[in-house]
Amino acid sequence: MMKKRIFSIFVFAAFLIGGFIYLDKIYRTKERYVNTFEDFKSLAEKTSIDIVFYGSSMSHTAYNPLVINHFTKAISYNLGSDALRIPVSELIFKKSLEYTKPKLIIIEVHESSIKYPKDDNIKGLQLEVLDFVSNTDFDKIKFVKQNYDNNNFLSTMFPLIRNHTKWYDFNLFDFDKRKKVNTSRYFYFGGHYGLVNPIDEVKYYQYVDFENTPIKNNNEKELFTNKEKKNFIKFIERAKNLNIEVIVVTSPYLLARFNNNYFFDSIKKISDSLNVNYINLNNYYKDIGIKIDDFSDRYHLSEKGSIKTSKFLANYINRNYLLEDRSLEDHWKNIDQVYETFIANYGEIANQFFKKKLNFNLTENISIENVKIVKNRNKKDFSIKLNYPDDIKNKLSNYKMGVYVYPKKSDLKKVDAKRRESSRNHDQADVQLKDNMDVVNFRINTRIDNIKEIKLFLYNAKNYNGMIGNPLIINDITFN
Amino acid sequence: MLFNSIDFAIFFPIFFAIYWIVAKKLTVRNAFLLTSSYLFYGWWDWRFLFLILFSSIVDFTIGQKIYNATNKRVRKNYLVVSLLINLGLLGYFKYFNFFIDSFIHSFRFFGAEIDSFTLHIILPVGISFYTFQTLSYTIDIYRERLKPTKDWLSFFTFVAFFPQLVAGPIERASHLLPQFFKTYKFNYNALKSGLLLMAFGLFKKMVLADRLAIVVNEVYNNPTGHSGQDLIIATVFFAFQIYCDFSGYSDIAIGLSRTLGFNLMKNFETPYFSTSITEFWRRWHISLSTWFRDYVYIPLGGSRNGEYRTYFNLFLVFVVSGLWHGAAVTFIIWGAIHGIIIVVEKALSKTPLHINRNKLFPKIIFTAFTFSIVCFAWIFFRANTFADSLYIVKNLFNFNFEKWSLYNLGLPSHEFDFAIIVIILLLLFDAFHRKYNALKVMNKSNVIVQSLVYTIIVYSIVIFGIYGDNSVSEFIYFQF
Repeated sequence: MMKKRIFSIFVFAAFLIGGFIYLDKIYRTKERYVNTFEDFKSLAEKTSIDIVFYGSSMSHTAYNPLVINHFTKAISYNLGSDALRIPVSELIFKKSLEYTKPKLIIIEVHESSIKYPKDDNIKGLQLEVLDFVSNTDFDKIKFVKQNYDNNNFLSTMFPLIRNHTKWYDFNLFDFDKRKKVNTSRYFYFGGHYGLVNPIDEVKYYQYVDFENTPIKNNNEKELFTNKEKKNFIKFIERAKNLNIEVIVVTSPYLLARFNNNYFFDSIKKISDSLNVNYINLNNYYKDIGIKIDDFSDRYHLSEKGSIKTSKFLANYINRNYLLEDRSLEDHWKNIDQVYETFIANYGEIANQFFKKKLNFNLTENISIENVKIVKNRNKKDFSIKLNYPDDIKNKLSNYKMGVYVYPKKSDLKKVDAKRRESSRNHDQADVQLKDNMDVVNFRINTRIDNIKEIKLFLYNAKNYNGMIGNPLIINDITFN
Repeated sequence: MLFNSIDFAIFFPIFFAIYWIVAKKLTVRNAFLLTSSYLFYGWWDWRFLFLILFSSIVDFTIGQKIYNATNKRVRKNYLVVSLLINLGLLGYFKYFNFFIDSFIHSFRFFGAEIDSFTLHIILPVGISFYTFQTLSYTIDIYRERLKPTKDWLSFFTFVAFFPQLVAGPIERASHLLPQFFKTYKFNYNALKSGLLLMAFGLFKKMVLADRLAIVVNEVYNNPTGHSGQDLIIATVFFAFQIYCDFSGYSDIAIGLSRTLGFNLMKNFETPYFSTSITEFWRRWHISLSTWFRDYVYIPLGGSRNGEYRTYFNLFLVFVVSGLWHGAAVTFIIWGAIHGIIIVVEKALSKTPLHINRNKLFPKIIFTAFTFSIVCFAWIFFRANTFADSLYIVKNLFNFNFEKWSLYNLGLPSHEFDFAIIVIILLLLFDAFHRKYNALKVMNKSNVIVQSLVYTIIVYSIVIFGIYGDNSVSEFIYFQF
């Protein structure tokens, strides 16, 4: 009887534990970091990794392992993740040591990354990485207890509890939690998620003078608490105790000079006290060759900017650190082949664009100030800045904008097949204007690259009765 | 402390382990049970403990006094003191504001105005339950059906026994109190069946009751914003919500007690399969209906004083039962409806109009009819105000299907459909259990099947349960 009971308890426990492990895996959401960490493990199984990047999205967008590898002749990987805070970066550093011990780690820091997460959205983003850290890790438990509600403790620790409300979204047989990379937005390699699109029109003009903006220094307060400072120091010391070199880096970002800068000085002081190098790349715009188009938004470089920055950092590493030359190894060669293909296709990734200032009157009241067109493989992203008096603000929705794209002879066959069938020799889009709209942003799916002419005009949104006012014709469009 | 809370999930295993360590020593066990019960109860508000302690002291002392008094008048006086104190406390905490408001409204009806004043009185959780429980002790002693105990520790534990303290079943002293005079050996089968019952109770509460509550709250909090079909759906949903919520709690209480060696009375017996309201009350909240039968109906004369007096007694008992449920006119109306139907059924049972409900077709018709009446009465039970209940009754058949969707009642389509499926499964299970006793069937099946079923129940709660940041978590009957 006793044996039967023990057996039945054992069977039940097995079902319960097995069930939990299975369901906890199934109920994980598809996240980019799954791609990052799985590929990291896969690489670490094949070869040692010399350089690993840690930090937030300002790490994983800025530093491309393809470029780093090519110029340092080492093997690198980027373990950065969106909005990642220093304590969580340290946790994933600890975890990554189970797979490989790098020679050099590069910790990306900025004002927010040092601080504890306050916002629910930011707290949620930490979980993408925390899910890879064991629930028995005391530092993880401590971090969760400090930063998340007690009521949410279990949901923070276990994806099954966290995601159970979306039970209908999960396939009980789907263990693949890799997130499909949207290649029209990202270039992915080795944990690096390069942002393919350049900065939008509004921000472009807002920050175009970013290099010349004087640094603000009007706040003497330190931007982080003692506890937050200790976390940062602890991370560096952990690496140093393992004889791993450390570079602390701040990636280029547009707001660097618009925000208070005692932060950078504080980081420098701490780094110096720990005898590690700190490089604030916002002091090297000219050396890197960073321009406004090298940014994708206020905080992140575009892929174009990432290539320049990665190259600059690789050269910095070469000057200051002695890393093994692995260029004769097969793994390095295989990765470098990808680099060659990447650079060869750079034109597609670099987001060539066309820009023109105009001040053209479409109607008596509505004029176009400038037009920008970004070439994005088979898509053309338009940004058209409008000008109009205040009394027209709430009447814009009465209009639609017709956009015709005429190809040069060489690209006639690239016109959309259905249009060619109906004897039209252009691709087009119809864009509904909205009240109070300053900039009209839209996308045309067109394979036409060699554009002879673009025609822009307005018409009545409710009924097409021919164009209203004057059409804007732009000729000889060349993408830079 | 709620059964469906993290606090209880931590409390229970620790309590259970210590309980069985001390279980062999009666005094130590009871002391531990009492302390744990006070801890459980005080978790809501430590001030409540004074009340329950006072109630326990009063009835323990009065019980002795009643028993030791030789004079009948003196015995009666002591009983009256017990009634006054217990019902006085109940009246003060639960009904003070209600009676003041009713008093003022009735003066207003005659044109007089009195300054209203209400006290900010916190209703102690479970007061309606433990008050009735202790009253059963003094009343049974008065009736010479029970001898008082000199063991204050056992008595206090009987009053405060946490599994059934806050929402029943309302135990009779003659049934539960003697159980505290004995020690129990650990029983594996009792543990197994107790845990299964607890799991089933949690399933009913967290998977179904709390899910249906979303629709019920959506409609009943804004009845004027909903058409007849919504009001009907919400009312039917409420019928299942309150059943699953309350019977779920009872299952947890009974199952929990069983794991400790205690046997509580059954409180629900598939009530929605009743073919009459009379039968319904033999199956719904059995501990309360039998309490009212034994301590109100029978002392009023029961059916001993003629037909009309019987009808009056029945009606009065149900009105009082309504009042027990809440300090509002709607609860009184709810009770009155049941009272009227019971009286009508009693009257009809003596006439040739009485139909044999045991045959299949009449059984189905009468079950559906009884369910409809019960649902109709639930309108008054659930409505936030009397005006709301009138509105709902008037508009129950005021259908409007224009731009209407089943899935606009607070639950998205997959959740709504899931709720319907679970209701059907629950009814099928109840029908099966009514005939075959599901627990016996389970115990006959092999270990693998049993373990699989238990695992499915546990993970159904984890996956489909409504928990986390949720306003519907508390059991409905806690408000009584």
